[in-house]
Amino acid sequence: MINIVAPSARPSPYLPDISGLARAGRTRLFCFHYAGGTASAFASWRDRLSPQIALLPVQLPGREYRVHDRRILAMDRLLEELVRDLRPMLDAPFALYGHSMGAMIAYAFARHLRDHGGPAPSALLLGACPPPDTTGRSAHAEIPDRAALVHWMRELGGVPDALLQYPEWLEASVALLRDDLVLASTYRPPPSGPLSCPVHVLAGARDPVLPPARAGEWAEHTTGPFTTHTVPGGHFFLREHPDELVHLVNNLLRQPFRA
Amino acid sequence: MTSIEQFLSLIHTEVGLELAVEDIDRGFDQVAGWDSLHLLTLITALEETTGQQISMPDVLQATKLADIYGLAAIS
Repeated sequence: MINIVAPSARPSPYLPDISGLARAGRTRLFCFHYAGGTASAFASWRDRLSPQIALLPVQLPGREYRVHDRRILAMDRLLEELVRDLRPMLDAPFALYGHSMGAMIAYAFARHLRDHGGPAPSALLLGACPPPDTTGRSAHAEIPDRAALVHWMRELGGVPDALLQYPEWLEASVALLRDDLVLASTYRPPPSGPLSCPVHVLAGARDPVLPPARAGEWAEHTTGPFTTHTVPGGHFFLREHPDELVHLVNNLLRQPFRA
Repeated sequence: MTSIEQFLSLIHTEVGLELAVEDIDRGFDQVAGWDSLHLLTLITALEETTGQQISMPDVLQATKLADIYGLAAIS
């Protein structure tokens, strides 16, 4: 086996396991989790992804093994850290998948790379996330109060009933979710024009956050190939239907896009 | 909860994952098939099995299953 890990690629708090970089010829798939979530959201993909794809789940600070790291509320700062830590790993074909908040991060990361002379992903996969606000409104986070947030998350399927038995856990989950929503909702893309890489938008058939009918709104964010896909499930189709989702991801990354 | 084998058996029964002993020292994101919601299922089952409450502040600081086993073992 040829080891092609770039000499400058080092394990990072965002990605401590870089063993997936070691095999040549694989597309490196960097995955960004949803708000209030963790990198383990992609653990079920490990045995489902094509052998030609290296799974690289990115862990944001403030959860799981990074529970002691301070959470980041501003996209600019997060992008600086992601570029610092992940840029050395982008010396081979790579793709980005983001789910909900993670989709906004993946999109912002692709733009940041483009705007700073970095490489482009072979594909940008955006799940369960409406496009960023481009109306020029100020980047002020309008996050619902605690009760409304819990109600909203329960409706989406993000807060199981059992969690209500553990008030401390619920409070910690709400605090994490709130900070993540600030991060995602205050992002405004710089006026540097659309991307040119292929963009594929995935919408859950029953997702009120990104209904399938709105998936096409992302089209203006790339001049490259653009497709939309409706997958079974609601906002958390990532958890609900991993087989169907990963099958689609494998197909989208398997072949060069043909318009 | 007296043994790691019992702990792994409980995970298998309640969460549906068949894990090996070495898996409990991996970060949650490195355990194939793990989902953060599984932790909630597991804690609920552990409390029912042991009849003891597990310290929530400690659960919230856990980074791997070995941490949860440690909390269950001392509860």
